[in-house]
Amino acid sequence: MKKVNKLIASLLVGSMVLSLAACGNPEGTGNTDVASSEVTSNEASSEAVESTEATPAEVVKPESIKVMWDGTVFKEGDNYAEEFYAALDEALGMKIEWVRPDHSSYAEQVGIAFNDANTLADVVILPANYYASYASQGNLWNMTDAWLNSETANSGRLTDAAAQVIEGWYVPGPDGQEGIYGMYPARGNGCITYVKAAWATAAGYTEDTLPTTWAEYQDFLLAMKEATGKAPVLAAGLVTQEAPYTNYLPEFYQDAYPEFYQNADGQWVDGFSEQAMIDALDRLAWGYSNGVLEASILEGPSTSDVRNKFYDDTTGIFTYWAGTWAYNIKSNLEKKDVDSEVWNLKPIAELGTYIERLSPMIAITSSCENPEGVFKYFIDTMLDGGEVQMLWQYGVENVHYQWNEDGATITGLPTQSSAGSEKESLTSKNLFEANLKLANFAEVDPYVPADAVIDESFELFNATSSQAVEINSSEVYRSYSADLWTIKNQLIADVTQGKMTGAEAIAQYNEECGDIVAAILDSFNN
Amino acid sequence: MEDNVKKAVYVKPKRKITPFGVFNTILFIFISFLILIPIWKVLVDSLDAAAGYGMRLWPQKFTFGAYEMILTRVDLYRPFLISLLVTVVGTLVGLILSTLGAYVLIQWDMPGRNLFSWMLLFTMLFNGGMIPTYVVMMDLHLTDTLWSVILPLGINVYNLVLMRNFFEGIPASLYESAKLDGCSPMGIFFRIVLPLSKAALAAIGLMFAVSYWNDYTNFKLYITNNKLFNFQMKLRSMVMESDLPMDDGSLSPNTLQNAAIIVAVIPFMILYPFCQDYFVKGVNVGAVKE
Amino acid sequence: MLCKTCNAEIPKKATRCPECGRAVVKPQKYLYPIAVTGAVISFVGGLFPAIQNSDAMKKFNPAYGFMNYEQPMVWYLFMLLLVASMLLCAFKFEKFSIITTVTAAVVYGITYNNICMRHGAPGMQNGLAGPIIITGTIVGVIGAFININKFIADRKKEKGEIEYQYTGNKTIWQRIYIYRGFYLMFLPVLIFVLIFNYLPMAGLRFAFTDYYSGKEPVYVGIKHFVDMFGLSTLSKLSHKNFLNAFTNTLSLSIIKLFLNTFMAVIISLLLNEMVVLRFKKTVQTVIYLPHFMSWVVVASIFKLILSASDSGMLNQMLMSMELIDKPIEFLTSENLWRGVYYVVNIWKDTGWGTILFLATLSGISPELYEAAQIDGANRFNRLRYITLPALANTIITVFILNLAKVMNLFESVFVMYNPSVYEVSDVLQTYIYRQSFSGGTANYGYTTAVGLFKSLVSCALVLACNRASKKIRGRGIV
Repeated sequence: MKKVNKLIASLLVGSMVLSLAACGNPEGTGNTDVASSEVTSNEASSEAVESTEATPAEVVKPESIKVMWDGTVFKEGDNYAEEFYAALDEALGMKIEWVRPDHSSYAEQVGIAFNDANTLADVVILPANYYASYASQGNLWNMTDAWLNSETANSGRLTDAAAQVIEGWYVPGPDGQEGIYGMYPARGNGCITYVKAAWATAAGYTEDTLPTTWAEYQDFLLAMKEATGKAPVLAAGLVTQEAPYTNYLPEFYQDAYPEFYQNADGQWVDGFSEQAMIDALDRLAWGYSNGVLEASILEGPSTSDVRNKFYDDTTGIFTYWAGTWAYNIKSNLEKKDVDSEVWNLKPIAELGTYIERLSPMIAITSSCENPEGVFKYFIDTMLDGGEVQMLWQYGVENVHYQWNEDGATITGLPTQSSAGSEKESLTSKNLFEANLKLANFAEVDPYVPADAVIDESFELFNATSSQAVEINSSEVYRSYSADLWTIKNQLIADVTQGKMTGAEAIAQYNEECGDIVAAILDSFNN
Repeated sequence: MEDNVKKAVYVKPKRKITPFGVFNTILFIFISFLILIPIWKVLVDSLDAAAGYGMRLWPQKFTFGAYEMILTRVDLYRPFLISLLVTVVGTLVGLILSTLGAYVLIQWDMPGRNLFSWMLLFTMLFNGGMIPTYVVMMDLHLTDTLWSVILPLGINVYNLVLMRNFFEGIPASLYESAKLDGCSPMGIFFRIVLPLSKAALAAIGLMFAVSYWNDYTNFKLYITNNKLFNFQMKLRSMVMESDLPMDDGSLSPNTLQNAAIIVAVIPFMILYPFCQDYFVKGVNVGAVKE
Repeated sequence: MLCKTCNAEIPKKATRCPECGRAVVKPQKYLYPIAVTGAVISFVGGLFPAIQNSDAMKKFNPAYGFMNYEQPMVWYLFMLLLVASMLLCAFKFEKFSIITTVTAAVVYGITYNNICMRHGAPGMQNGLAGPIIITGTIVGVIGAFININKFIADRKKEKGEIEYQYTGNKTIWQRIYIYRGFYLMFLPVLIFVLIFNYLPMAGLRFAFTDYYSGKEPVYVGIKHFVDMFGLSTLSKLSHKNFLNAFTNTLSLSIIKLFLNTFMAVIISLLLNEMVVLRFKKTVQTVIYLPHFMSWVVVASIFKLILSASDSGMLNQMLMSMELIDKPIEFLTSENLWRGVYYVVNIWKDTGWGTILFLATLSGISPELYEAAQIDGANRFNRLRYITLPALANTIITVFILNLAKVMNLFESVFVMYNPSVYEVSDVLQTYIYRQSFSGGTANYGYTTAVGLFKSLVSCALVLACNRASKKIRGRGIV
């Protein structure tokens, strides 16, 4: 026993020596470090800004840069990504090293990657909420001046929608001043509601008599359920886990927003404790108890489950991205021998408009050594209206698309994965869709949609959408937001299952989280 | 030999059909069905181009397309090869460390033996957690290399203890005589201990192999380069998320998902029956030993 | 000194009795655990904040302690001194440890004054570091004089008598020399353990910091523990979520362990009765299969079977047989989820669990059964008097070894739970996961603190198991 004691003691000692040794690691501790690092990064960025202003001609072209990207450009093995990489390298005259984590856990990977300044990429594409919080922490390079002086911004080719979108790029930096810390060459896009024509017809509706109000929509859902015996609506969870949260069930949430947002007076308020949320929860409960929400919505289905069930004719209504997805839906339904006619539902009166999400943002990290060069030669060229924009928008000539004989339009080529199936692909998009781009081509956009449904869905979306609200972040918000979301998710599920009413849920929420909400609002408003 | 004869003599009278025997057989057929039905569904759906959500006993539109796809597409077969590579190298590393550690831990007279033993035990008691471990990997510049997924799983105290128990079972007289013959510790290790431990090596090797093959967490944390993803990563993004590479393909998405599931299980379905006997023996001696 | 066996006089330096050859038990010097405890308390105290500033100051940094003192060397000195105290105690120089322990306290005192001068603000409060370090120092000093071993019965005496089987009465250096090759062999294991198990423990200091992705950690003292245990005004919610996760972890994993072990035993007993060998082997292979599937796969299969929607096979079947008129919410009902979870666990792991039991059963000599049969024992009696006793030891072993892992419950829950059943399904690891990976707001400091707590609980469990194991089996886990 004594031996054992001795060993425990020495073991304890050993571990503590180790911890001691590790604490010797200089980046270990203390606010002074943080303060100083923030200061330096500020200095660095202001210096950088000065230097661009003073000597814009002397921006050095980087030889190679490291880029971290999600699944939104051509996937490897799927659609000739290697050819795209090579063509882009050649067009830009520099070597780009691509880091492409798994798309489904991309956001998590970003969080982890930012811990390691040594290996962090020069350019990172960030989900909108990460963009706001990293900008405010000083992890991103301030590109306000670079953007304002950039070729793209002054080219006169920007689309009409661009001004409003660019407005949304401004977020508070580490100093509290609003600035641009990232850009995206296109609008964010959003979801519209697709209704299967066969289901609607069976329920006694035509394209002209589709519901326009919530009451009509309720009848519509019930009629569909009656006619087919199946629950028509399914979404990937009751609430999406990232902004704009309600985009997969817009008719049910309507004007409710489950997060903090800035109201018309410029004050930040908590959307979850408002009357609109109580009503939205009761609508969900109505949907579930009447069997119009498919039961597996509570079981945490993935987006692929939801899509597959729509293709499988298990569900009849599907709220999903406008544009290319309209075509994907159609072709997948065809493949499954399901009636592929799909109608686009106009936003019901209570909803008003569909939500355009904040796009992901392409940002230069503060660990980039030559941000001016990266901006000028990588970011500013994305919308150059010529060769590079073609690459980002459509891909590589004769690999992803080919010019038609008229020399003014292009046709897509089959993708790598469908090469065997002999199926002609639509004019493929690379990073963004032609309809969403922020800058026009210097000449004419050679785009010809492969199918009318793409343009139709965009038309509807463009006519009836509004930009999602801004995102804010503060210390107390960061501390408790995950806990808040735990209880929000729980309450939404409980009300939907009928365990409590919306009013009871919000009362419980206010009781349990009132203090935190007040503290967060305080930090946002003051 | 004698044992066998006795067994035969003993078993024979039991061969007659008893109600209990019938019940038992039926029960196990039922249990096997419970286990096989879900697996059968996966298998059928992986061969059915029109796989949907319902249960089918036989493919509707028979196709090997999904398997072909996995074999021919670089983003599907590369993860498989990475998984194989990591499993093989990792199992080797794991076996080397476990045998070395276990061999040292049976040297009861060795000064510091207890300290080593407690050091290993302590790691079962206490660990730094996810983020601290990540920081260490980062400082060692191991992230985004396959070492970051091979090395941390290489030391597994539980397996090491099983191995040690097995080594303890080797008669001490063997060590003694080897020592008298002038064998060095290394010599004893290679000439006596390892050859006698084939069963344990198979058992513990299989355990390591399963943990490497099914490893998802370490890959997710430490690997951001998609060229180094293993099959479980790919499988997860195909099964859980929307990351199916085939919006233009001719197969139902479910077909490919199910084929991937089958491919992920196949190596062990093939491997296991071969080493089942060794395996059972190895685990038996390692863990049950008093 | 006299030999215990033959009472012959033994020369001072001899290690064995010249008369009878019995190894000499030198009077042992005792370890002073209280002194060590004191040093440990002081050491832990060093992690706590020295001062806490008023709310007005909280905007930037609420707590100051060693970790954010301008001269980190002082902190290292403080800790080095305490480590020295522990080492001194370990090597039986407990009286000297008083010096180092007290010096460490003095170092803290000087630092404390300095911190007050530099960072103190009106409304400043003393942190917990002071009281803890003072307590630690007092315990350490007094402990150096209290030999608690005296109060424990002399049963430990025999332990001092280590018989060296192979190396006889060689000195420690000679033995080290003999085993030199083995040290070399252990080196790789040592390096691995140090790097991948011990080095990360240093990162536990993040539990005392606010650590956001992309930012340097900022020392905040024990804020996260205060939050976890709901001791501050804003932390009621965190505490509720944390507590829920903690209790779920314990109940889910322990019940699961019981059920899995029980089922595995039953299945092995029945399987053992199987006389047709080929059939037995086939069944074995089949029931091992699910173990090779990863949890994602298992969950996706069972979601299809159990879903309450039209694609849920079981519900559809029951409904077509008109046993129920409404689908059962297997996966989203708080009453049913746990049951479903246990069933899926049993499906996946029972087969694998039978390996050990089957191996034990096959080791039971057939003669025993034969004899019992001749004595007229029926099947039940044979089971009761022969099989179960033989199996008991294995059951206990398996149980104890697995108890050590109960706090690590993660993947199986993660792939099967959903918000409607958080209350009965959320476990510590899933809670940590959600805190770490939701919306770019992860505070790794908080998650490390929860992880530290988890480690401490699991540490206590393992030690308890080891104790139980020693009691029952006469030996520990290692």
